[in-house]
Amino acid sequence: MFPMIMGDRQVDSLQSLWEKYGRYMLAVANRCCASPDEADDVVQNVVVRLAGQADRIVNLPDMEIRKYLARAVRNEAINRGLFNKKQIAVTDTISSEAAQNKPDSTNTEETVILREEIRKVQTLISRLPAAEQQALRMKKVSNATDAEIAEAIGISENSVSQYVRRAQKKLLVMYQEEEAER
Amino acid sequence: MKEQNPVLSNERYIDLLTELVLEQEEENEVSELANIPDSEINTVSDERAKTVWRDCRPLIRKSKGVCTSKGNTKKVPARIINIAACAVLLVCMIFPVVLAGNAQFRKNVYKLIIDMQPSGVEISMDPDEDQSFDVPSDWEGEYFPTRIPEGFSPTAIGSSGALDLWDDADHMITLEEKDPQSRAWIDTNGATMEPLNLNGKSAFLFEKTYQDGRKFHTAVVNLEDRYFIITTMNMTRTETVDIAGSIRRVSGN
Repeated sequence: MFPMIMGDRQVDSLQSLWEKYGRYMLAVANRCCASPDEADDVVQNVVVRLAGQADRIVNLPDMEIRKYLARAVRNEAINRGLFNKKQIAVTDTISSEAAQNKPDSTNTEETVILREEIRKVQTLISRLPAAEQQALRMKKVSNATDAEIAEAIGISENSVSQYVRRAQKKLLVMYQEEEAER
Repeated sequence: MKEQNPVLSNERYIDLLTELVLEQEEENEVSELANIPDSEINTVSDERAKTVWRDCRPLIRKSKGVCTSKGNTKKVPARIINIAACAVLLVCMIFPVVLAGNAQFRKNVYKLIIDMQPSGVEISMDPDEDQSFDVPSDWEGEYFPTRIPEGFSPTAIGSSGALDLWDDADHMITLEEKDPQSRAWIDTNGATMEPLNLNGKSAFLFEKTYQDGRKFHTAVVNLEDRYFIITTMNMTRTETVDIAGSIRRVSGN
């Protein structure tokens, strides 16, 4: 870890970022969390984390900033075990993305199996206990450290790898059971 | 060269699919959240925003002296997303795959591979196996394109083994050779993907234009025991496909 000095300029950038996107971040957090208090806590953590890089973010285009902040808030909510997925109504973008990527209908069939596989694994992940889902998301997407995962789900740091592996093994077993039933 | 081991175990396959699902899930949710309507944002009161900011200030002041880069770089990048799992999954699917155990499982994946082969897009470029071609002396890969457009010269080979070539008009070509276990980073956020067949080699072409106008094409070509990635900046699709289709084994040169 290399220390990064945060100067007044970054604090100023952070403040202007907050003035423009503070309420947006809170609205995002409202979607990600079950209560306003949890949302406020999540946003507060994100703001402190962003402090050292605000001057870089503030110059990005509007949509890039929104995505950046949305990702930060979402992942912070996940890492703190406060993420409430049900409040984010996402359409079946896997299908629509695959459809967009296909120049003509002849290719549609080519992605059907891939989409089926993705959907199947999506379903299997949702069947895992919440803590295992959280550990997988933190490990695979949020780039959280073992220490952060351990703290979030209340296990020892030494057990994290084993915990994640066990969740993966469960997915494999469930997958194979489904295949066997076919 | 790294040891080649084009084996995809059941565990690795599920692991890759899991990463793909979770990363797509993240991208989808971030897109949804980024487009929260103003009417919803307006439900957040100024008072609440002021309170949160006020509570943040002491913590910011505390971190004003030193904050660690770990905290700053914690997975919040917006522009370049890690789609390694996606890329590796696609690459694995177009590689010869050996799966342990379950026959049904193996059959499904083979079907997946067969179905991923492009049906409508066939790029025909006659291979000229006898053609000699120049390869930079410090290139460590076993393959290299025979067709590099005029005016490009190699600059440096990075630590990952990628070679950058530039011309005077700021066009760029990056060449990388990877084994099946390697990870590749491709920004597919908002990109289109097209399956190709290049002289019998299966490939994928990603195309993305950034807001500042830079246009990138990335071709990932299956070379049986490894894959080759060609990224071009501000060049045409045809030029990129032309380079990708000209990859030949250096030792056979």
